[in-house]
Amino acid sequence: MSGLKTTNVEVRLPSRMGFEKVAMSTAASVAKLMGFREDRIEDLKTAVAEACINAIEHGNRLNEKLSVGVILSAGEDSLEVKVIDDGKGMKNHPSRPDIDRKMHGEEDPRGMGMFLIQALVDEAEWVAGTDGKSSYVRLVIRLDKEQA
Amino acid sequence: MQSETKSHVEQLTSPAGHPVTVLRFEGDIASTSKEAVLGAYQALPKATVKLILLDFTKVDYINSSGIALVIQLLIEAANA
Repeated sequence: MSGLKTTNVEVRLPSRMGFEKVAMSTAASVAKLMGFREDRIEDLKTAVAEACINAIEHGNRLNEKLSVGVILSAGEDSLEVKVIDDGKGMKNHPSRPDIDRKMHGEEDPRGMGMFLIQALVDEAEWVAGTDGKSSYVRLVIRLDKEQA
Repeated sequence: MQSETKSHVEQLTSPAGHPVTVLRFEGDIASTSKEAVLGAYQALPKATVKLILLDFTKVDYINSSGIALVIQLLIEAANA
């Protein structure tokens, strides 16, 4: 993919659990073409899957009439992934999960997706749509200089 | 699209001679896997099962909802 400034790949997913795997494999293919290491591709796959699950479950509330848009923009040294849904976006970010509290039943065992995403990519931001929909999460993963 | 979660139970003996119940999972572990994960644990005879080994080596995909189910299983086991 050398010689290209930005190359876009777009996927539209139905709001049905399981279809996040289509976005995962597409992101992995693009990242592989860009020269990312296998471990970073695994990080990206998990982050993209969690972003799509949130969009399907919380953004589009499992409404199969709505779709989730995934736009992958491959630059020279980074890959940006936008996952777009028809929800209003988050008013408040959930508190940081505490695994010990979860293990003791003092905290809901769910609610780890956002934190997995933040831990696995170089940038993550959640943007609420200005029209009350078309909210998105934007992820960026960068090529290390030694792997580029 | 989500591949089914399979679970099955095996009995082993540890090197120290203790009976170990192995819960082996296969396929995907996601929000739809509650019965295969928690149900498999809940079906074990608690009076005789004391050591449980969870085997995920044949799991192809686990997401945060699947991790949450495993945490729920561990909480139930800790409280048993």
